[in-house]
Amino acid sequence: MDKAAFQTFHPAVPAVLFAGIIALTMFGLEPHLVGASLVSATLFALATQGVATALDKLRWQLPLLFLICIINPLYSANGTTLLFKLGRFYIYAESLAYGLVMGALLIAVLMWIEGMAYVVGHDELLALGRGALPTISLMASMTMRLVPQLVRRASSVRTALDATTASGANGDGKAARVRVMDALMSWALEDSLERGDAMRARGWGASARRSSYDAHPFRLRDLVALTVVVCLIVLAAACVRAIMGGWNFYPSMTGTSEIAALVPAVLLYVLPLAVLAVERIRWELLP
Amino acid sequence: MSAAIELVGLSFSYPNADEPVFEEASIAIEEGAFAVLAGPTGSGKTTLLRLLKPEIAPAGAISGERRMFGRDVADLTARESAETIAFVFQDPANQIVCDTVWHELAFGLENLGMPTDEMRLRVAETCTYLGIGPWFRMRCEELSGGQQQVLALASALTMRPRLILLDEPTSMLDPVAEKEFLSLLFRANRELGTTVVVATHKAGIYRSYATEAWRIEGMRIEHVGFDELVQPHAQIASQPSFADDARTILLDDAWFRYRRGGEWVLRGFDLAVAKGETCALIGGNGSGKSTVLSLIAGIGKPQRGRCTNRLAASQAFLPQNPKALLARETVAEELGEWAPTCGYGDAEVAGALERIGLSGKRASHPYDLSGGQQQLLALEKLLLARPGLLLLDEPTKGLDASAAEAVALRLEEARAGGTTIVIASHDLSLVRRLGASVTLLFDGQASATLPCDAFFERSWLLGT
Repeated sequence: MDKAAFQTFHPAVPAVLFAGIIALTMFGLEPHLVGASLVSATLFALATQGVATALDKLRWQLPLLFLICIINPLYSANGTTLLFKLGRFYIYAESLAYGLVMGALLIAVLMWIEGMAYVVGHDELLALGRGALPTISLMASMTMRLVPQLVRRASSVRTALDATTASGANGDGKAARVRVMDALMSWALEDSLERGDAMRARGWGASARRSSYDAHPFRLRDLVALTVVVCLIVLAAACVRAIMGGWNFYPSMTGTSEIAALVPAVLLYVLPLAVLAVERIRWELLP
Repeated sequence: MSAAIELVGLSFSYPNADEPVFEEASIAIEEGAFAVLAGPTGSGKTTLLRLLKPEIAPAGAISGERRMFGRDVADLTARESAETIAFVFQDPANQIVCDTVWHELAFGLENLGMPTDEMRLRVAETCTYLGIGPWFRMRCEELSGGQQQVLALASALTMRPRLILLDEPTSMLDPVAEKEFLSLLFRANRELGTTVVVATHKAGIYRSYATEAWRIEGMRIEHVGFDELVQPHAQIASQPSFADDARTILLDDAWFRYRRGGEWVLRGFDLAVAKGETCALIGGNGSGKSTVLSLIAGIGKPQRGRCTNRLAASQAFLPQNPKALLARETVAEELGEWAPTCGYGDAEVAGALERIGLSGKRASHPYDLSGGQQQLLALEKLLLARPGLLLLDEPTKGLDASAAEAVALRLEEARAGGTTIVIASHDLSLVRRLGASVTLLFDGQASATLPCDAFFERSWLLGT
């Protein structure tokens, strides 16, 4: 499955949806909320990136989870249910659970950010600011192009020096790095003169106000979708706030909220998956 | 109808220059013409083109009449100039401003504050006309150099110019991309009626497209016939034969790819170069020429097969862009950079400056030199280190005939001194000139390895 389903919306819709999910995941430090977010994020990653990539990611996710999970009990000896004693450390179930939930939250947030980057590319992100700030958005566009170019050139300078063994010059050390920087700076400055000319030749500064080419028109359908997403985020935020107000890890894990309060947040977390699923079903139903 | 370009009695000199670039020069080009502007390096081709485009005109003392489409150039507003006169520069990468193709196409239109629906029409029709629709959502960096130059032409056409000025537009392109670019330029000229003026040192390739030719000589511009501009083929030089057992560089069944899961760039590539031999790697874009150089240089290792280089300790590598080698404040310092480690002194540096004709520029910044001079400087810097093996990636790219000849001469001298040379190049006239043995890379393999004369005799398509 791919991002085709999201491409039919103006980029603002998925951008707001994912931003809402990421924010609520960060603030909803409660086992059910975090669990729902992590499961949804994992399913979304599986659906969009495939099993192999998702399994590959476990290589950093599991150690991270384990690390946060064991570090928390070592540092914060809180709670009422003593599990065991490790040397000088008292390990409580509550602090272990806190670490586990915290680690899961971190992983869920990172996975959602990856999911967002996958659906809303930098090009679409820039499109969001284009109408209001054409010049800033142009600068961002130039930066996106020039930074990778600089990195590639740095490697070409280093390659040229490393490959010229006859020079007897040492390719390592501070002097060599300064030399690479020197070469890159003069090179970039020189190019910027020519690029400046190219820009002026194409009417840069010829008009008081730049306009902006919009590859993503904002239609009524986008407005409806955006309204639904924003309403869901607001509702879910209110519920998450209520849940967090009644939830404690210490001294013992207790909550006062109804299960129903979880529903809006869970709906929000599964919405990206639902979008993928609807697109898939529509495709299957095609005559 | 008024002439597209009319210069009468033009004189121009740069500030602090000893002599003017133009003196009482005149030229008249009718609307709809395809004009070629030839002349040796430094004769003022670029200066002339820039004087026709007010925003990028050089500073200096100017007199005489300059009229474009009946209007005085000095009276053109920035908007009128952007809408009437387009300019395409030599280097494809440097003139691209934005990171995506669609944004690049719209850049000039955005500058003019054009309404969205007009922009959409112009961008769409340009892509359709040139057949570059599939690139629309790509990043500019994903395009090859030739495609980037077509994009620059497309971006110019979205402005609907009446005149396109091009400064050496194909000198950085390989021969295939060059012809594709020219055919699109030709269509813009004949079908759209856009006047085209190209400054070039390779007038021959424009023979079937151009309607007129001009040459800058002695501060004047003269109308010339095409035959006066075309240069004959170089003779194939002879190279001594080498004993087969003296293989200094050996690639045996080399397989290489850049990423796990990536395509194989080399699929069982074989190459053997004898000590003192000059070997040319030719092949299309992406055929793996640069990859072979990097394997020989030891930058990469083949994942299957082997690569041995007995001269690995005394090799020198000239990258595609000489700027990667230049990092000092002056030309003389640049040549002296490796003096302490290589054991040469001021006398050798002075001799090197003499050889490449830069004695008068010893205190100049390397970036103030022309592209050809930079290339010669970088090559000379490598040669001062007395390498046993010289690896060159496109050493004549972007150079005019005289600079390319100077590079070829230096390579001949290095070879006479016993240096082994491996060149990756599209430039078959250089290969011919050096009489290098030729290896044709195709599909990751050495499809043919032949002595120079045998290659040009047996190849039907490339041997002309």
